[in-house]
Amino acid sequence: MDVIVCIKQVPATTQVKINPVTNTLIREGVESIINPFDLYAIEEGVRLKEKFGGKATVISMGPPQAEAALREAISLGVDEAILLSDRNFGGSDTLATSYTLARAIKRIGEFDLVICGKQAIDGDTAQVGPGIAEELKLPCVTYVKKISEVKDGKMVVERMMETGWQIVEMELPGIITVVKEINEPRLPSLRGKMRARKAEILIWNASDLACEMDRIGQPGSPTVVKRIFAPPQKPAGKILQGDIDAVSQELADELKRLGII
Amino acid sequence: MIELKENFERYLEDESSVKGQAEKVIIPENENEISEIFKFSQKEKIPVTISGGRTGVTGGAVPERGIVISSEKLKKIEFDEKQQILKVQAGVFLSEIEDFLKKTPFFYPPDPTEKLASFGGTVATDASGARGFFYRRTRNYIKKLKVILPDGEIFECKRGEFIEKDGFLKIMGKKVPCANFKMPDVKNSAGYYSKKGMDAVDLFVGSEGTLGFIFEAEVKLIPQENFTGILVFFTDYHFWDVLNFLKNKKQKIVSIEFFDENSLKLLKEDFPQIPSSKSAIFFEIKGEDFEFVEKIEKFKNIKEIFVAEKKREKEFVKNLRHRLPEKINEIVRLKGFTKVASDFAVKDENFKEMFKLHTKAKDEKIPFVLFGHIGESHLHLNFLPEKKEDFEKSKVFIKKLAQRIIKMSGTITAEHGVGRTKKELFYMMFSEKEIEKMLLTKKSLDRQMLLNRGVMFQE
Repeated sequence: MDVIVCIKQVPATTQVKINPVTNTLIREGVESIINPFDLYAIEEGVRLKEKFGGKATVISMGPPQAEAALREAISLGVDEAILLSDRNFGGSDTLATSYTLARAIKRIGEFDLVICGKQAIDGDTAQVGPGIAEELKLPCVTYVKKISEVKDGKMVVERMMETGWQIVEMELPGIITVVKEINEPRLPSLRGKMRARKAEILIWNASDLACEMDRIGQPGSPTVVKRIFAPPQKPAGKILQGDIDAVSQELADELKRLGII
Repeated sequence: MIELKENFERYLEDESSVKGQAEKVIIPENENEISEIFKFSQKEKIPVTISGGRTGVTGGAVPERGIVISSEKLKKIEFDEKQQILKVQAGVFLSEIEDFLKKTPFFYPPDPTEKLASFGGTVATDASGARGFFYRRTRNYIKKLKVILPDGEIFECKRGEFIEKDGFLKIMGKKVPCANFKMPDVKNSAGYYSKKGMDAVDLFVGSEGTLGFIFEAEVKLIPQENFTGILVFFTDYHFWDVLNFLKNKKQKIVSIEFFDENSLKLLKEDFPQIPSSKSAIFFEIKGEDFEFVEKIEKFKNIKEIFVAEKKREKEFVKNLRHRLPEKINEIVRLKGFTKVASDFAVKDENFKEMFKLHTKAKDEKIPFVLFGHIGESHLHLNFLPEKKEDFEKSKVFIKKLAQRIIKMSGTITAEHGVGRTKKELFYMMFSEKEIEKMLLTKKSLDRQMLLNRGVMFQE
């Protein structure tokens, strides 16, 4: 089973600060990581490969430094990594990104399944997985929490819903986006890390992908960002400590003072 | 100052599952209030037990009767960046020190697993931790102490100011006998510190609260370090070559820990990603050094090596390590027994023998796990008995094991302290004369034996 996993390098958001004047992310000194949901996509791709044989390839669109994310994917068991990097890709919204990734998947050619994380933690749109499916005219199931069967060109998956889950049978090749319930990502082994250090990362640009130039980067991105702003800062919470009776009284007094009770 | 006369059950036990009794709990806010309580205790002959985070595993914070005095309101931390010194009050949790220092380029090396331990408790027990292999113990970082003595006097002692002379320390006009017996030459928590020319600071650190209330201390900080953690899984019990290799790299290695097959099976319940294997070593190195880690690969019987460099990976390894003792305590509590465990350490040359003796636990046919800080020749054998009969049998096993360890000049407690639950082993380890000498030290400061009564010493 040949699997393609799409990943994104994102800032570790717990540390991200927003410049209050310009309202932009302060990226300096912020660690870059593989989008956490994509780690589950990588793990699932590697497990399928280990179970059924075949090859797992990881692709990512991003600046040259996104190579680090791809190397990490290799350390986790992926066979091959491709970085889609070109100045012309800059400013892509989810539509242009989906198109570009779809072009790369087409170029790879043979595959049975594309796996994406359910969403990236920086944009939170969850649009790129379905976007790729639309572009490639492939069946797509989002929020997959389990792959229960792969047989005869079909796959049965469990799809996470708010109140339970759906069991869906889909044709292959197809696309799924996965949630964190699907597996426990492994730790990279030493061998994996050594392989990742030495691995060659393929770099494809817009012309390698034969992209239509008005569908990539800024020109290919109809999304208009009207305004970016940081949510107003909440005052720090208060922790009451000490004897349970005293603390309960204090809490009750405070709630009364605030007019809640 | 808060006084609780009822509903204070939580102050009557700690992680050891030992339960005690008390008439009231007092929560002071400063040193003078503690001093007053102590004076009152001496006058009225009422025992006082000091209570911190109650995370100890040997019942040191469990009161016999009388007053419990809790450090929970003593929460001040002050930082002197120029001197690289942190002044911390007793009730501050280790996790709070850690959070505080995140904003600075420094760290405080002692790292006991339990981060909700109170700082005062870690000083009173001279806590160590996994990184003790390189960074040693709490005492190595204490520059100055403020102690409330059992008679209520407030004693400030800076390292270097009060030094033993002719077998005595002069403390607030009292002659305190000390340095009068030989400590075992291993990682040790049993008994008072004793060495010719010793510092008063070292007498109080590790005295398990029997000599005074550790109110505040100034600790030395160290520039922030980056560590890489490496987990090595073995196909059998032959981890000795790797261990010896690591032990010879003293400047590079920060910690070396061991997990047996049973520990790994328990951990696999919560961390399915780890491979099934017979034993594992976890070690940390300073900085990032891939070439060094590659050298480990050439050793035999290795199933898998994990390297934790990235934040996510480090977090995983940290959770894995912390989960084991936590899980053991949960199981023990669920079965309704107290902890039956070894905390033994010997000299390096005797470690192989000690390890072998510990593995004989399997002949008892009682569930157990074996792990520990093998870099310091220190092991924890924990029995997980399911019935009373096995609980009794495992206690006998630990006691017999202790006898063998004592014969090797080892210690019956390397880090947990004597508290209430290891007194029997403590009295086996030291001669009557030696115990008598420690009692002289105790009585010189607490004639009526009212402070932390029942800790370390039998009545």
